[in-house]
Amino acid sequence: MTTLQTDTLADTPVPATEEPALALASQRTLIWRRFKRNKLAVVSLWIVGFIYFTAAFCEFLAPQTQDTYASDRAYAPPQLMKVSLTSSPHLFVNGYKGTPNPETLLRDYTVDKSQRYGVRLFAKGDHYKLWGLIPSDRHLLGPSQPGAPFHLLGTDDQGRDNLSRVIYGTRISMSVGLIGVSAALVLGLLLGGISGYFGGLVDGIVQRVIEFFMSIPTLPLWLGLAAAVPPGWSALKTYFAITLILSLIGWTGLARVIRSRFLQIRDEDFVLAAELDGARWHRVVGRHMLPAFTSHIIASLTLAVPGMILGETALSFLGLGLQPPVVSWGVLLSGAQSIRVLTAAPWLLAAGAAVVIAVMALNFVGDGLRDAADPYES
Amino acid sequence: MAGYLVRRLLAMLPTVLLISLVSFLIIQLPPGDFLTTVVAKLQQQGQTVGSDQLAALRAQYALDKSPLEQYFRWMTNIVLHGDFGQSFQYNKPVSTLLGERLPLTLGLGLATWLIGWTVALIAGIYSAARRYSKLDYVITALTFLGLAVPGFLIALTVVYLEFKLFGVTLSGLVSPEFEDASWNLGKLLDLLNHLWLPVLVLASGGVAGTIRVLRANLLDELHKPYVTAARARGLDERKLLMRYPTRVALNPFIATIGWTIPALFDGEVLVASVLGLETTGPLLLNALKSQDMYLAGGIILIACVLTVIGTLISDLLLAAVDARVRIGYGGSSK
Amino acid sequence: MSDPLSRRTFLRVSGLTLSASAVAGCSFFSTDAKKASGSGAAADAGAKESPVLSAMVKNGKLPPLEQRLPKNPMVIKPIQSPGKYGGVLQRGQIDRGATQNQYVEFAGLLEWTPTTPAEPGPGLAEKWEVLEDGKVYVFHLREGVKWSDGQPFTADDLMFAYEKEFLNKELNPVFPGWLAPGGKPGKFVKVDDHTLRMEFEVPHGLLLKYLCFIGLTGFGSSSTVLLPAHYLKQFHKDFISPAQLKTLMKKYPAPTWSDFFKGRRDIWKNADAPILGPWKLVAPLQGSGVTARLERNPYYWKVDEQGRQLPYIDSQQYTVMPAETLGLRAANGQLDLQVTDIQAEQLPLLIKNQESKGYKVNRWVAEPNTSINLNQSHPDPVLRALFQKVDFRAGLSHAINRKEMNDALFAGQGFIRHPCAQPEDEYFEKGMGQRFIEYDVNEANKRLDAAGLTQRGPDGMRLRPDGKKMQLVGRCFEVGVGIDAISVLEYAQRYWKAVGIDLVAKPMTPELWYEEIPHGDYDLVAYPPATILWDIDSLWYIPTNGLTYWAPKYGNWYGNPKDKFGLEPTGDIRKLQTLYDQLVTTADKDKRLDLGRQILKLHDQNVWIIGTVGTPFQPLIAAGDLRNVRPDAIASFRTHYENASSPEQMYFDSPEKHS
Repeated sequence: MTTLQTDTLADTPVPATEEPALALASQRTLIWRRFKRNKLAVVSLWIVGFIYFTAAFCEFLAPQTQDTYASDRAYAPPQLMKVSLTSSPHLFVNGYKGTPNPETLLRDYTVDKSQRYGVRLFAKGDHYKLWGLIPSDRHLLGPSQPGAPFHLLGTDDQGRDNLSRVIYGTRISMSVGLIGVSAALVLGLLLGGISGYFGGLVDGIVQRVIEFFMSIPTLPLWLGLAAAVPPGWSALKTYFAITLILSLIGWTGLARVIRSRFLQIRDEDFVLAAELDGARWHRVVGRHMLPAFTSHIIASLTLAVPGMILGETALSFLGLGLQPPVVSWGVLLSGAQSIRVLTAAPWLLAAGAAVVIAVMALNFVGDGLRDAADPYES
Repeated sequence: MAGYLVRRLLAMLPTVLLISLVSFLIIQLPPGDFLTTVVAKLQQQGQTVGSDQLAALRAQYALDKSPLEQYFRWMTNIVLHGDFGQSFQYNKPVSTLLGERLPLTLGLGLATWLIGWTVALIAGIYSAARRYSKLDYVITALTFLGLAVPGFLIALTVVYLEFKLFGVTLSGLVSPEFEDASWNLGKLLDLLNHLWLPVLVLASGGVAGTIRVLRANLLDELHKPYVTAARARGLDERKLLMRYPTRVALNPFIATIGWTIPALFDGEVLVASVLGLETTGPLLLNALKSQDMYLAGGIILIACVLTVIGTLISDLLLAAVDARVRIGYGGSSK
Repeated sequence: MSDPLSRRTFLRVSGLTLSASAVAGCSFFSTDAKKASGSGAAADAGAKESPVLSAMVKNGKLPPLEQRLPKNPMVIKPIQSPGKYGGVLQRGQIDRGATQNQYVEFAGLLEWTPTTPAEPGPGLAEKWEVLEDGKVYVFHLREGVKWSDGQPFTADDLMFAYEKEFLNKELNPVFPGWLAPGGKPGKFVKVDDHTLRMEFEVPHGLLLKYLCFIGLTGFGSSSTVLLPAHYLKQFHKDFISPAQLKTLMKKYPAPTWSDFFKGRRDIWKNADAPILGPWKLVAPLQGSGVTARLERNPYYWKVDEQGRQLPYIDSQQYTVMPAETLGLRAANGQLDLQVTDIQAEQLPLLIKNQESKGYKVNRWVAEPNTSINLNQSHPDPVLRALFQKVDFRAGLSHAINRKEMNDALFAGQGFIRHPCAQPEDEYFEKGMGQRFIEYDVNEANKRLDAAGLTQRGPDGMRLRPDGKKMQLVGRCFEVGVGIDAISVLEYAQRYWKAVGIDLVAKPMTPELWYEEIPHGDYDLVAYPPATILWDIDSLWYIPTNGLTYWAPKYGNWYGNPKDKFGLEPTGDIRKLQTLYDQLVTTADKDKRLDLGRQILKLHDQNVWIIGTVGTPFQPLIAAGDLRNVRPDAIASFRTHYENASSPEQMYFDSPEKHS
């Protein structure tokens, strides 16, 4: 159970093997115990952990690189992985035959049962550099014979492996969420904190600023800012710019949550005690108040990530967000929104399934955390 | 109370002005202006537009002035003459364009809002009162699904399924043959037939969020001592639930009604473009893309004004519903 | 406007039928959408006009046919067979502001013949003479042609367009370029009511073609020649007092007078404006509505060989819908005639459903060949010099594996050629556009070395001739036809990487692109250039303005040598411009063809525009019983898409099914 620790919960302590008595347990331990009782949230946490793991090691996990293509395999349907129960049991996929159809300008594929391609772990395949540093050509799963067709989720118009692209998209889409939320958190903490702690005029001003941001329809903000990203910028720079734009729109909600928490806690005795001890305000906030609602912040953050992911999808759909050749779930989905996809290549909607799974899992985790962090909960 | 109202109304003015000014500047963030597209079109027709002619055209549309100056002219015209300016792209007054689209947008928004809230209220209360029941799990699962699936994807899929299963493709709000027909039962049925899908898609995202929060709020309230006290006094369980905890749990929503208004104007743009709805969303999107600034500015201004009014209404509602808030006002109006 | 038989009367008649049917039993509880307009009943082949019109004649709302037709109506030979009257043609469009569907309202002084290649043929002018080596054109208008409101069409209408539109600086800051060969504005002279002379200082080589091209001379453009003077005078500054103008502009608000006038003139938005085409707008796209409706023009001046008035089809209806819906409706047999907005990616579904849903898919010749336009007028002198080397372009071209692209994107059915016109174009010569086209990595490397790109960086990529790192940025935006521009760049990126050229793709919105291009500050852009009738749309092959994607700065210079973003071309590119100047001023056909071929040959030798793979065909969707549709024609903007098949002579075999 110690492996439960993931990126999202980096500071959630691993429960000690010998659990302290309830009365002595720290706040964190209590929360963790309550969280564990929520089965759905725990399962979701595993899923979220798995998704971020995928994002981190996408080069290794994907059977191909995101840009490996095969002209004779355009819009190839998914292959079924089968088990061969011969003397040496192994996995294999059948090959297919694609005949060009001059009417529809597509290939008609038929599965060729006689052709068998073995599938193995740590297969040799495309060369890549993990995180742009470590060169390798091993892939977690792949055909034993490099270059053989192996498309568990089919291929796209250029014959690129859809599964690999969804896996590569994980890195961009999930990190958009994380980075965007971090930026939003900084803004939200700063402004929400100041507002909640100082109250009075400062609070009034910050509240007006937040209201102001909430009153502007998001579309002009998106468009105005996304269009203002200079066309000469590199893909990476554009990516960060888009992420910042998303967070600029997302921070207001967080700021409001943090402010209301601050307002609640400010009148508690322990804060007064700290102030009477002569602690300066940043110490009061940093040492005494923040820890009291970290769990709430984490919960709100977890709930904010899916919003960012969906935001990225929507922006790409409008043609304003990330653009190919960058591969994100949003980019994959915006390329999949045609009838051809729905009729001829429905497997390209897999990116949509990835979005749904990731967003749901994050929501469940966030919900579970929020419930667990609630001190009134029995 | 009257004094409070007046003060609030006065306080709204600078907010509206500021928001409209900032939006106006944001619209002009991207390089170029509306004439860029015009010139490109002229050139495609084989006409070269020299820089002096371009300058003349710019002057004709007052595009040669600074954005600030343009803004003040525009605002002055609105305040003095109620003139929102002209849309370059449509060659029509902004007010006419808005007049054509606002009823549909607001109607759609209202329908979505009403249906969404009815469903959310019932489901949220049930879900909290019968926590961990089978239906609660179903509701929870559905709401999370609603939160997770992008609206345009639902719309696209439903449109395709309709085609596949029933051989129809609905687009717009009424079928072409009814568009200029007068109102009769047929047109009404036809409208409903077109309306359910956008309402369903638009409501799905919002409802899910509302149910989640309502459920959580209500659960918080249900653990409070006053509920136990009321229950101990033998109050009927249903009355108990509806009379106090639900009212309190609703407060945060009433307080944020105003914020849902801006989304009315652009929240549906994705769904509207998939379903071919001529609401203000696509209008705003086009206006922004081609930098038709008076049109975009006009839509944003109206959205702002409605938002601010919405906030005021929700504050008043809050006061009406919650005695604690009311007393707070009494104190502050001294 | 005082004519008792104006269009308003026509409308009132349909209004009467409407109220009659309302009395007959339309109540709120009715679910009927029909407004009881055209009966849609199949007429017997003997009738000379649509039953809708004969009913109006009987009621005295319309003069009899003989009085409506000109003395010498234009006789059309139907493509397959003479037709039946009636029916409503359903069509769709994606973009609200798109203009292609408005072509059916159009008539031309001259009109394209329904042939490949299209030739200028008679229209409102039944004959014409070319005098003084092409400096003077005399047009003889058909006598007795009437506008759709019954007013006569005469040379005065053309004079109005010339004097009050073209020469008015407010409406037309620039005199229309197509009427100014050699940059010298032409002159219109009225000889009599039915004869008009167009006089030029130098011979005009392309006038007849231009007159057929709606994009230039149609209502949508600012250089419309066919303007109803009697109607527009009431809105023109020269004819009314400022006070009258003020009242009118209150009624139809617009930012400026010129916008107001253009609004009144726009026959797609203003249903009151009289027209000369086969169908006339009666209900424009309005507000949040998505449909527009057109009815037949009772005064249309064409007849079939039996002397029966065209068009056969009574009305047309347009619906604006999203791309996906349009594709699905087409696949459902709900669209009766559609070339535009039918995307190649919808083909599989369209092919699959054609039997069961009762429509047919014709294969028209497609134009698009998404190509790589290297900016020959690059502001950076080092890159400019490099891009202008034939070896460099040859290297880039040889590095592209077009067969592989063709196999993946078009199942091997696309055509492989550099854009150098197309076989159906009159200037095209066999074998053009094939230079450097084969995939040959060795040859590519050799050529790139020869272009001076011998140094390589630490990453193995070639450095610029001045030793700096070279990364080309490829621009693209969504075009809607041909291979997705971004796919082309993605392929190019891979292929060029193999020969040491670093390319990154940069997609953008069209709006941003149009802002950027006049400055001419980019490396390359992927876009499908025009390949048919390019002589009347010169910017694709000759840098004649800032929208010449492969040499914008040279184009700016051509338009105005003092342009801030202009650059003077030299060598073969300058030669293109001078050759084109000659072509425009050469009235002799053989000489003109020769000049055009010289231009194409320069392209063939230089491969300024690097082609990839062209779309194999353009699907045309037609209702199963729609007759007289050309099985093969070129789907092109310059021949007006569907209108290349003359919709006025199309008919439904069972019009009652299309009411």
